[in-house]
Amino acid sequence: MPLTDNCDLYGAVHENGINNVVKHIMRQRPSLFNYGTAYIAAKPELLCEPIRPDPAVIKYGNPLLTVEDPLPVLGTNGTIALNYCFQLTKIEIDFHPGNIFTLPSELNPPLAKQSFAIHARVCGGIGCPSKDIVEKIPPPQPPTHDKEEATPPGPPIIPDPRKIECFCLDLYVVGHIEVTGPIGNQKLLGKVDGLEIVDIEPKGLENSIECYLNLLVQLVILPQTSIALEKMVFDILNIATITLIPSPTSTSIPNNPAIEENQLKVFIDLEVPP
Amino acid sequence: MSHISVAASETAFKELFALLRDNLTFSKSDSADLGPFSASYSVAMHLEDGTVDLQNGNQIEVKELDIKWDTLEAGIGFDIPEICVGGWCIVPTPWGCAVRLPKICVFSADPDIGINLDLSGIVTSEISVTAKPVVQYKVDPARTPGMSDLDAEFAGVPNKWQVYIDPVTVDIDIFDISDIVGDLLENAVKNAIDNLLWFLPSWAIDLIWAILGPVIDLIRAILDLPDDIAEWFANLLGVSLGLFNVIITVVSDHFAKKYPIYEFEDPYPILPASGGLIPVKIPIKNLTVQVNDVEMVLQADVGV
Repeated sequence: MPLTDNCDLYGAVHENGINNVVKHIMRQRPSLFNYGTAYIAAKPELLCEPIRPDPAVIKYGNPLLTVEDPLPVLGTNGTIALNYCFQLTKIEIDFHPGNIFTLPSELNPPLAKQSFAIHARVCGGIGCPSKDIVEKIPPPQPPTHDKEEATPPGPPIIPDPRKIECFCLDLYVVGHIEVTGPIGNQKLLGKVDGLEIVDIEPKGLENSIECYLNLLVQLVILPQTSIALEKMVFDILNIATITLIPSPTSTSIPNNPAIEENQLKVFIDLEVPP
Repeated sequence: MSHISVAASETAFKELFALLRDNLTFSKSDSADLGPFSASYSVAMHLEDGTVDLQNGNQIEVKELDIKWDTLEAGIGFDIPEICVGGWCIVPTPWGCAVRLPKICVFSADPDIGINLDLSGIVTSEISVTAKPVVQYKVDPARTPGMSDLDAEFAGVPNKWQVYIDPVTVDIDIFDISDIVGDLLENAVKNAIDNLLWFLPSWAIDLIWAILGPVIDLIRAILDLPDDIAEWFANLLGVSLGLFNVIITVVSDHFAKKYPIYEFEDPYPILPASGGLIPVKIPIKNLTVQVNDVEMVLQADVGV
């Protein structure tokens, strides 16, 4: 059957293509996926998972990770802090029918029709100092509430870690795609239907972390990866005087956008000005 | 299954064709010296009507696209052999001629007669094109062998995938000119000669016209006027001055070289360079374009 039987323009992207794109981004822009202190940035061998960047990243002196402030130890008034790292080491997407990875039981596999799933492997760790080093750290001054007696804090003591105590978690997200925005400025936007972190206890900790990550994915990550319909097609046709609107759903097009046959499909109609 | 698929229906194609057609305007002028006469033209045109049809066999057909000549002016100059009247001796004497008639020579210049035919707005040409979509991988000639893809990106000479509509056949029905143009031209020649002789007394004009009879016949013979004016005029502008080729080139280029219907860099930048960070680029492989009788389908893969 022709791809444009019920629309003017048709666009589809296969999950393998998206996963290849993600791998390219992770290799060419590793600092989007790896975070840590300056100490770890200088000693990337301490990272939980090695980074395998594109050679151009090294050639042009791009950072392997985004440098963040050390993690302060509570109650030390910011005088003692620890090195840490946080890494997204794997991201893969699966369009219905699920065939790239297996969903955890909490997300009711198999992947539902018209749905996508994302698997992300998250690794992190804290640079815990040895007992010898801890004993050499002078005790921090007790916090004072008298402003006159308070002395400005100097740079924090960041004990050198012998290694990073790493952990890795597997995060799974299931969701669907919606068209949002007014006609002429519409976007494809992912919506989260479920999120699960595997093998984390106790339940309250898992729920808290999942709550936080759900907000992060729903409010930050997915909006940044939304696709403007106009841009997607204008870039192809190089014509700026056409209005593109999603084809209305019908018995011929029951879902638009549609997630099926391991692809994300969009059906579009043209509106050419008179 | 391809990683990326984009399809445009025949309906979409017709709408896009209309946009391309309505955005084309063209103007040009040229001249040439062809021995006994010289010719020049000045043209300006736009496109109207026509249909586009997607066909099985990876072909696109554009039929009966009208070329409307907003300006179509042809200038023709004739170099008529010099004619002299008078100068005869009317009172001869043994010592020579006592009285001579005055001698008047005309058509001494080159060209002697210049006429302009303004056919603006009354002439329509028609063009039909059969074309194939062609995928080309363009390596910028300014790119040196040692450049990486990123070096080429920074130097503004990245490789590109380009999809053209490559004309296979171009058929131009150059003019649909009525016989009135033949009369227009003949009258223009007569008026031009009358204007050229305005300073002469009437007896001299009559005499010159009597002599010119064969010359007019000669011009008509040369130009085959007015019986085959359309053929002659088309031949003059199209073959002698190369206007056919100009039109074909313009129309072909418009739908082909100047306007690839799809063009993008390879590797394709998906995140721009910012803050010292290199752009993120993805390689595009296996780009194909196929046409059948209902749609054009473009497919590509993302390289690993």
